[in-house]
Order: sequence, then C-alpha cells, then structure tokens
Amino acid sequence: MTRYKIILLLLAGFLTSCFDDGDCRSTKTDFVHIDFRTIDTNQVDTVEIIGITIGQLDSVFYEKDTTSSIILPLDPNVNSMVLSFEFETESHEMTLDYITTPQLITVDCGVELSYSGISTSLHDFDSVVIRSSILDEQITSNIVIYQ
Amino acid sequence: MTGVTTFAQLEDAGDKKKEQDTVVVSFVPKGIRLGVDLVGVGKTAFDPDKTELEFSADVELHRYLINFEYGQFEVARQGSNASSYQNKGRYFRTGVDINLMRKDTDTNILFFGLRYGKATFDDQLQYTQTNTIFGDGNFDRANTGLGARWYEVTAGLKLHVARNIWLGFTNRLKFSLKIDESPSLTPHDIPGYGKATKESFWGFNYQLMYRIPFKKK
Repeated sequence: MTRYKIILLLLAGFLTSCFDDGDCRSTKTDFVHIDFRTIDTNQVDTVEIIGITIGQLDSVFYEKDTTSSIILPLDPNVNSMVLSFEFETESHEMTLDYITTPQLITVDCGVELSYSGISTSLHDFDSVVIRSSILDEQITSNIVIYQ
Repeated sequence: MTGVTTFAQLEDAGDKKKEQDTVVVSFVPKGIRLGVDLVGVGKTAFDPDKTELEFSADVELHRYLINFEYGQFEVARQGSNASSYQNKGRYFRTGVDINLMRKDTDTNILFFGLRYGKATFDDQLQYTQTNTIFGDGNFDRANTGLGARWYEVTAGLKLHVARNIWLGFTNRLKFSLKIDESPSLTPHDIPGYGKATKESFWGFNYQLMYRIPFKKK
C-alpha cells in the first residue's frame, strides 16, 4: 500500500491548481481611437475641430480643439452610430457599425462588454481605413481618416 | 524400457517449460466497467444552482482501456451589476488509457491516457448596462446549440475494493479549447471543460465503478 500512498500524494498536488478564479482586471474599453492623416503624403494631419457630435446626444466632443487624434465613446445600447464632424471650413459624417458581445467574467467582477467588428458603412471623407476592428486599451489606433 | 520412460518424461518437462514461457496476449474484453462521478453527484445534491452528472464506461483490452464518458451540466449564476447567467448542456469524452499495473494481482489500475471532449450547450445572460454618457439599458443575450471541443491528458487510479466494485479518481489537464463563434454572447462555462476563458483547465473526478463481466462461452 506504500506505493499507492506515494502515488496519491503525487497526484493530490494537481488538485491545488484547480481553483484560480482570477481577478477583475481587463483591457477592454468603450473608446474608439481615430487619427487624421493627409491623403497625399500620409503624414499626421492636425485639424481644427469646431465640434463632434454622436448620434442624438446633446454633448459636443472636442469643442474648438486642434488635434491630430481623437478618442470617442461607442454607445453600448446600439450597434451603429453616426459621428458628425464640424471643422473650420467643412463638415463630414461617418456611420460606425460594430458588434457588442457581453461576457460574465466572474460572479464578483460582473459583466464585461467587448466591442469588435468595427466598420464604416457610410462616410464622406476622402478615405477611411480601419486599422483595428476591436477596442482594447492596448490598441492606440482603430480608424484613420484621410483628407 | 527405462530409456523410453525417461525420454517421455523429458518431453513432458519441455512442453511445460514452453507453456510457462509463453505469454498469452488477449484483446478480447472480459467485461465492461460502468461508473458515476461522485464529485458531480455531491455538487448536484448540495448546490441547488448546479447539476453536474457524469457517467463513464470502460473496456479493458489487454493493457489498454477504451473509455467513454457522458455528462449533463446545468448552472445558474447571479453576478454583480444585476446580472444573471444560465448554462445548460451535455458533453462526452472518449479516449484511451494505458494501464501501468497490468500484472497487479489485485487488478488495481494506474493509468495515463488521452481524451477528446465535445460539448453542446445553450446559455443566456441578463444584465443591466450602466453608462454615464449614453444612459442605462437592460439586455438579454443568448446562445443556442453552441459547440465546443477540447483535448485532455488524464492520469488516475482505480482500486479494486470489492468483487466487481472499483473506486478511483482521474486527474485531467484540459487544453486546446475551441468554441464555435458566438458574437451574441461569450460563454462563461463549457460543460465538461470548465471556464470558457481558460486556455487550459484542471479537472478532477472521483468515481464509483461496477464491472459487468461478460459471460464465458
């Protein structure tokens, strides 16, 4: 029976690795990163923004701001939203489509939402390129607008 | 006459030695062993939000055991931010073990082996999304008939405790999980495997088994 006791002891060690529940840390985010570049030289383009509105929201983002990169929140309640850009000399619109996928992380951490499949079904910029179709804190550029 | 008798005795002795030296390898199964996982029975009995029942069958072919395991799984979880998750499904595993104690006189079994596992399940998540910019919302997402598959490395012991009755345990290292695409909802549990987000997962079964011998002709 000594042989069995040794075997049981060796195999019992495996049991201790079963119960790691993890923590609530996550790199998921609700914000999409948009960069501006010039279409002829592909250089970073600094634009003067009067304001950006999202869907039916009253809020105005980047009001009277000068920047080459913006971060905008995606609406978790829908799968498509219209962004309206007002610049010094022109206005543009872009429709963003995306997929939201919830997941219960743990009972304590609750539900986390993932955004993926980002695409533009409609826009009137010169060109729009999707660099990354998922939202993650480690991804610094999702969409590039060329004009 | 003495010389003939002596020669006959020598011939008999040679035949007997030949018999002792010959090892008979038989791949004819002599019975089937049916088992139930007592860990799952305990969880089912004491946790009203969980059902985990697993049954097994194995057949010995010389030093190999051909295994088939079937299970049913059901769980309900209450999460924070007013979320609740339900998962209901079934799974099976099949594979081969090698008996490392083939010559044990008590017919105990120490084994290592491999398994292929497959699950089919439905799950559902209700939750409240709070958002300071766009406002709150209540959501209900579900998957129907979602599938997953994985592989396992197993190790364990089956002790012959009484006539036709075995008690034993199986340690499982589950890995290479692949889940069907499910943009509607990312599952939390995979029946038979464990947490869907784990690339590998340890499992443990404690089994009570009964062997049904096949009748000899």
